[in-house]
Amino acid sequence: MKVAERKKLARDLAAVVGDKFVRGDDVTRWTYAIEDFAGTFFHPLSDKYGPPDLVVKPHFAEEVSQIAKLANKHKIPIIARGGGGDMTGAATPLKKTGGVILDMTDMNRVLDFQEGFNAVRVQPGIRWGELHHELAKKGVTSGVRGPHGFLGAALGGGIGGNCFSINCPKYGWLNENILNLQVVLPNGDIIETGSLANTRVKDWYYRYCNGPDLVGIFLGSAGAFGVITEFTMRTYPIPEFSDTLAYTFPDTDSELKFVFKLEWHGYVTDLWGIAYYTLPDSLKRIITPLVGERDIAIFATEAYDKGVFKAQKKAIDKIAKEYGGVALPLAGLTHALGISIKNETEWMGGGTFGKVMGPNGSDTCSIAHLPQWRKVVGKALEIMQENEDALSGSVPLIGAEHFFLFAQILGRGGISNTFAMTPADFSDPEKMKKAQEMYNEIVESYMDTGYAALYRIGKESQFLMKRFKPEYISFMKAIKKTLDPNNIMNPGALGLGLEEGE
Amino acid sequence: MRLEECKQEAWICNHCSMCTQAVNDESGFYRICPVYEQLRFEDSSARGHNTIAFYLLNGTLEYSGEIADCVYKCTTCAACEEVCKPMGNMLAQIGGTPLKIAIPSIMGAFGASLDPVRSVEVVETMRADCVDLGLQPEALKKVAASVELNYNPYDEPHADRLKWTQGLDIPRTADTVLFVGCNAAYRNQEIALSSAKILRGAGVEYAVLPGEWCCGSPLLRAGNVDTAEVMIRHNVELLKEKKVRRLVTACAEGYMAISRDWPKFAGALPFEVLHISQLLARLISEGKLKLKHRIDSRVTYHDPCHLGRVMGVYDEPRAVLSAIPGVKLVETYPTKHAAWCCGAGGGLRDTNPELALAIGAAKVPLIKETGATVLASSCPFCKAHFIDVLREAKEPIEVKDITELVAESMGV
Repeated sequence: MKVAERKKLARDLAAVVGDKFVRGDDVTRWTYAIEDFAGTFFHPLSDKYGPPDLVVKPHFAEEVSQIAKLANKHKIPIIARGGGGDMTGAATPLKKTGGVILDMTDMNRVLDFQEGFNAVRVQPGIRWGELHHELAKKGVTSGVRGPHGFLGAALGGGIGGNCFSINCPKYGWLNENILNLQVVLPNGDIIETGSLANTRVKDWYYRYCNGPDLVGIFLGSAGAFGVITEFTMRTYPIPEFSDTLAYTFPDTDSELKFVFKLEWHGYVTDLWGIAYYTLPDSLKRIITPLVGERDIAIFATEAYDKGVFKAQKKAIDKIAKEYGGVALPLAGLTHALGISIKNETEWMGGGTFGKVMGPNGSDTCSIAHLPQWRKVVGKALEIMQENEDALSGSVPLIGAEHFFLFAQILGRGGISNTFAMTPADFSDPEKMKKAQEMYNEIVESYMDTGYAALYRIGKESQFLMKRFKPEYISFMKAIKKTLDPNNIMNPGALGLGLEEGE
Repeated sequence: MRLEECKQEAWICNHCSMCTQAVNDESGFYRICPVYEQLRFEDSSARGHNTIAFYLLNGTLEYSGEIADCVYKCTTCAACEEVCKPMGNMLAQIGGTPLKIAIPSIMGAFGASLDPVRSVEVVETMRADCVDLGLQPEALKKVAASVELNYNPYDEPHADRLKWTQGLDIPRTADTVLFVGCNAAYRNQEIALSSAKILRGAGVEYAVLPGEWCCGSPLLRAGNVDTAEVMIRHNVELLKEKKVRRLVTACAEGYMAISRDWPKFAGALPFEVLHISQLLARLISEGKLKLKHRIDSRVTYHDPCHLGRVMGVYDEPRAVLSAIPGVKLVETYPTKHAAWCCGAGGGLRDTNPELALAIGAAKVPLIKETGATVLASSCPFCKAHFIDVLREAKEPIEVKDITELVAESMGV
């Protein structure tokens, strides 16, 4: 965008939100040219992304609406951004399109809490930690606890990026908890969904009524179809009884069967499954003397009633034994120490994982179907072993490990997350390039199994578009064209909004 | 470019957003970056600074007045680093603070590291580059010029440094030295006086040194590394020459600089370094400090960032305050490692006084919530700043250094 055009647009935007909330200086712009480094290979090494032309901070849906109208007038993209924690460029402009970033983090209020309906209405810029804090005051929880330590991540980005979360096995993913949305459409119209589509309804939140479920197309859409300005999500009473349990299993198949049964019975709140054969040698050296060459499941369980809780733990033990499970004395220990797996305190969180495999510990942000998980992971391990020389040693692990494959079994329905952590040597461009190619190869291998998917797509749709049916792509394009004929909403997200060949 | 030294920091930052704005009830954090809380754009957060460093290092950005303006808007409070400690809070939950401190040290011995991203060091290094390029804000150029000329940042004659000691007859040599620091020597002399009287009252033989120069902390925070080095080398030589075995200071800034920064320039120090709160806690536990007079007040303690988060001194000031008869010590939330900065640090009070006051003002409701009538601190900069903040807010809360409260209770 030319300087004069940028200045004109900045003036127009300032007329909407106020001077203080529009920035166009280089320093500010470049700090919005990057998101989470866990997707390192997508960002700093890529020449695909660039800084926004302007950054604007709206405070009301009406302001977002006016900004959308201005964007159509100026034919300039707008990209909504929350905590800036996406790993697939969802909230970073493409270099070739530029655009205006809508930093939504000032739209961060809790608007309404409906105790009887177990629902809370919030703005999308609210961050996970803040939401927990506010809900705790009401004695409730959001169930899903946020993306593993990224408590600074905003929920709006989680909705756009299909955020999986701590406690998903029990409560489902974030988007399974969304009831209603208020969305600013690309033409600036503000719509409400579900029960709120009836203008007489003010504070009753239900998703499946008044016609089709129009919430769905905005979930996981990375802002390609509109900007979410309010949403309602479910809340749950905080269970009084909870504990962390751990069992080891003779092999991965036994562990998976145990996990499935645990989920079917509704006993598990959150679970991390460790498959022995995927572990790096350094961890094997630690684990083997303690538990042998066995897989480990560490999980949280909870209940509202003491009697139910005791019975539940007994039932869990019985199921574990069916599959050769041996209890680890972790439960008593963690209970005594007051920690639990569902504790969001940096537990395997944002800082931890990336740093343990840092610098540039990159996560492939992929989910796999549990029964096929070994197949998915096996190929990734092969690729990493073949390319080990392209990877640097993990700094925190004394350079000992060059890659680390870790699986988190998330549920519901047997979904696992697979982390292929691959630290790269930033001082060697050749190795970085090779590591990037290897990373892409891993993701391609996941997709080729047919049993893995990228839960976030963002602007990294290249892995998927070639595997989607043409009819499916046409359908998405038709929605995009209808809603957003000027392609102002986050072009490139989901591979949409760009001219042919771009 | 000095920033080359921070290449690893720029790459290892995950950009996870915890340092920008996070709340974590379980580890006591309620929002992190005081500057981001005020300015609300990404460039005013540690993540933003690390991003700028990244783009400076890869040549996308070049140093400019805009960048200088950005990197000098930081209080160096290190809340960003505190929340960035991977597994740190988990370790603390398992084995308390000792484990949190011990594990990284043990790992360090093997060459492994679980350190946080040193975002403050990144900012200070960018500031040092700004100094080299003449981009430092004028207010801080004046500070540096004053230190070069007068060995203090206030344009005061060096000859007046110990003017406050007149009539006190404090020796000029002893095993223990009270390192007064520029602020207490020239601006908040009640802290220097209280410290001196307490030490005498407790029977501690100590000296003050007319040859004491600026500790270098304001220079290091502002990027004037070379001038700081001159100050540090002078002070270390002086203390060695005087065969000092123990250095005590009532300044949180000074304590951090002397303990942490001086050895980087002058090697291991041949004397013990104590913040006065540590010495007082020790004297109280040994029964050498008689706190006779009641101070019937509800007191809340403000953790100076550089004494608390950076140096880990949380318990001693509280132990001292709790030992004063009549004092009811109440905690502000968030507290200790997660305490909010007063706004004065990192030269912000000089370069952006309105922003510094706004940051301090943001903490006033938290202080009021405690019902305290006295806000105690152990840093002359925090004290001076809070006096201004509370005056602006028209809040009748008294601000005292812990040395003043102790001296009052001792009746000295």
